[in-house]
Amino acid sequence: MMDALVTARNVAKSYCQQTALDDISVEVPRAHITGLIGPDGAGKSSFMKIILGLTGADGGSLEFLPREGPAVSVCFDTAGGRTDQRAYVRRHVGYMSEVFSLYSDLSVEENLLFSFRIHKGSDYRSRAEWLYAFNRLEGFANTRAGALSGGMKQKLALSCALMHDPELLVLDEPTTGVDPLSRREFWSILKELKNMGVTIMVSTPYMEEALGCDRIVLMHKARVLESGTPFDLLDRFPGLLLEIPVREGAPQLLRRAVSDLFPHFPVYLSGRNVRVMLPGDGERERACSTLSKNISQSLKPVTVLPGLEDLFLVRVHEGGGQ
Amino acid sequence: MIRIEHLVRKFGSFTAVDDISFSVGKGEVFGFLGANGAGKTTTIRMMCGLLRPTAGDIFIDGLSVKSDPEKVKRHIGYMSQKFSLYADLTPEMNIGFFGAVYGVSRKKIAESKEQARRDLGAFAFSRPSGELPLGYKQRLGLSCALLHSPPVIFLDEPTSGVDPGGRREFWEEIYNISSKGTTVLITTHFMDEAEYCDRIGIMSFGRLICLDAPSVIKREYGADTLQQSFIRAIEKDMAKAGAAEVKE
Repeated sequence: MMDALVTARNVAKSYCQQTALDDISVEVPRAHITGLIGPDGAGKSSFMKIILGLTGADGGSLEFLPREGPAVSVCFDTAGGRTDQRAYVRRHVGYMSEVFSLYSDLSVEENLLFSFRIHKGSDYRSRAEWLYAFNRLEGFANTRAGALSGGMKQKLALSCALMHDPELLVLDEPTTGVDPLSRREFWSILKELKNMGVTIMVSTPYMEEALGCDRIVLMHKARVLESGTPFDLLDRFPGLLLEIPVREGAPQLLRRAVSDLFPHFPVYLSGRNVRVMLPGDGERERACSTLSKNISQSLKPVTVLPGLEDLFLVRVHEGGGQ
Repeated sequence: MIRIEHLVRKFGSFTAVDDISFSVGKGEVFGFLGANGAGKTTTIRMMCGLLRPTAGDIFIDGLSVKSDPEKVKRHIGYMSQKFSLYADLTPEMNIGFFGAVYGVSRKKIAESKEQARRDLGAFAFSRPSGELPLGYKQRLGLSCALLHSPPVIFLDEPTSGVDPGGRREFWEEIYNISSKGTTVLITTHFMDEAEYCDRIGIMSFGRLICLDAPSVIKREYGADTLQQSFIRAIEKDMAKAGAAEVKE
């Protein structure tokens, strides 16, 4: 059985008759990175807010099994345990939102101190010194947060979330607007934290990042479509992927022409190529001859291995599109 | 359509853009990449006529940014993820506002409103724009930036935070625009997106260190992905800059 720090069972939530979460059961394994992915509006942020206790659910339950101390159980049907949840979250959970909620007129040091105080951490100096070194922010203590680069702001926001030495870190799209080098550094920091025993839950719209997670939960239309390691998910890719390079003309026109030929299969752009997923190997020959007969004989489709981005698009297509 | 000639911009003793030159053709989709602080935003601000070059010049559709900054503004559209719409105004009001700012004809504004009403549905069309899903906001932002039919459009991280499906819809729209002859210059931090561009340029420390089609750049750096090529290009340049510092 999985050693889960957080277990959500049958969590349901709606806002004004709009279902945000429909019977969600998810386990967040201890000292792992769990990635939440899915189209905009799938329910990722709502689920994170419920874990953080920022909002309640309409039904279902949550259980936290801390490394030390008693378990925290929340039952949304009776609203029992919400006070315990809030106390647990304040002391042991760190949160970073996509807007990096920093005080831009305060210095780096003041931002850290503020976060430390609201979370009631212990031994400020040694924690701050450790974070300056760990997140490579040395020499910036007196810099105004607003004057930092995107990558540095991101590291400061992460440091604020880590100020009280949390055992669970919840990150809602933390790499938006940050360049590739800073992003790579950020993910290597997350992996180091995981190796130190921190449990991390992160949402991202970028599949190259999702590949860095130990487990992925794919959500769509308020439900969990699939979960597992990235490789489990890719192993279960439901068909054969054909890529058609666009040699001339506009890629979107070829995409439309291919969609018209195969209205029931997922067809989408991948860079300047068009990809179509066929239900199985047996379809390949027929599909190639359909393409050559109806569009052009010069098309040279090749079979390619699916990535997480393909999996995402195919599963969302199966789930009835966006 | 865009011609940059020996462009330099200094802030005090700091050189943000250090003698760059390149051209982007009519209907081309050009990806403008670089790490934070490499000089991309400074360059785009100069292209938009918002910042004067220290030396060199930029020609947009034949107009010099240095001598005709106001005229240039009428020949470009600009959209960014961070700011493109007034969140408290409905889509209809946003289109009306941007149309009026750009001096677009009433007929054209009415057509754009009708198009947006069809795209978004009547309900979303009458809600504050800030409440729209990200993908809708982005498409509406793009329509507003294109209201005055500019020959050149700058898209500054337009797909930041948008999911894979939404990003593809946006790229199809970008290809539709470029097929009609509009030149598109786009910045992104995500290299799988740069794969959609005809050509890309990579900036580092104020200079243009790479300029070619994505497939050629990948071959040059012996990489399978643009992400790897980008990191190799920047690291090579940083090592060079480090070596130069040691010499001095």
